[in-house]
Amino acid sequence: MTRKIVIAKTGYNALTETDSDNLAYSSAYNTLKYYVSGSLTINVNVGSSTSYSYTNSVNHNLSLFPFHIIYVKYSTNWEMIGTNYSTGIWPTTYIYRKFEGWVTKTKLYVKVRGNTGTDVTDTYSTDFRYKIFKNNLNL
Amino acid sequence: MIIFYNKTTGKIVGTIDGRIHREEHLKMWVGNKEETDRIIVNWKKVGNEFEPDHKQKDLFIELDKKQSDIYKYRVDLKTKELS
Repeated sequence: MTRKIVIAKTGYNALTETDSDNLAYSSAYNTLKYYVSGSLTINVNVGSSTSYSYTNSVNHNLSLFPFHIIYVKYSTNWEMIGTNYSTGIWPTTYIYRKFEGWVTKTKLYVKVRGNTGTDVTDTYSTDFRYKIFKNNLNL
Repeated sequence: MIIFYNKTTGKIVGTIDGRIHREEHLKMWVGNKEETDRIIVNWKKVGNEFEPDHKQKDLFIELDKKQSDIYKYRVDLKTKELS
């Protein structure tokens, strides 16, 4: 019999429970290995009729593509990376913003890109929160 | 917490969370080393508790509870303190 460590949720017996949904932890399954967390920020100050792209990065030095999570703060909400916003009317007051993030074998990057209409400028600061895990995505 | 800031403006550009940083954290860097510098705030044991080993320890205790507030501050380039 293979030995394992099992912690059952309240109300379930760790010695007999077989449904993983009823376990708080089981060494039979791989888990995420938390490595580091932190934040990054990007400031944007662009004029009218401008298409822009800014990046910021932190190096993790893991030599692998790590599992990671990035959140971006927009207004007062923290949202998943990849969201985009637009407002105004093309081609005059239109403003477009998009927030992106990705990893390489050495760095985690965040990026904001967007564009402005002919009669409008755009100035804002974007905060990102990241978590990097020491789990190889094997990409 | 490790705080990275722009050497010219003092504006904070990124952080690495934590109270006691291992060598692998110390090898990490935000942005370009020619443009950014860092402040390392490690915690030390005082009695039975840990506290930030820094002149602004009360501020760093608050930031430890809510890391995203760091961007309300910038680094004073002369004193290397948050202001």
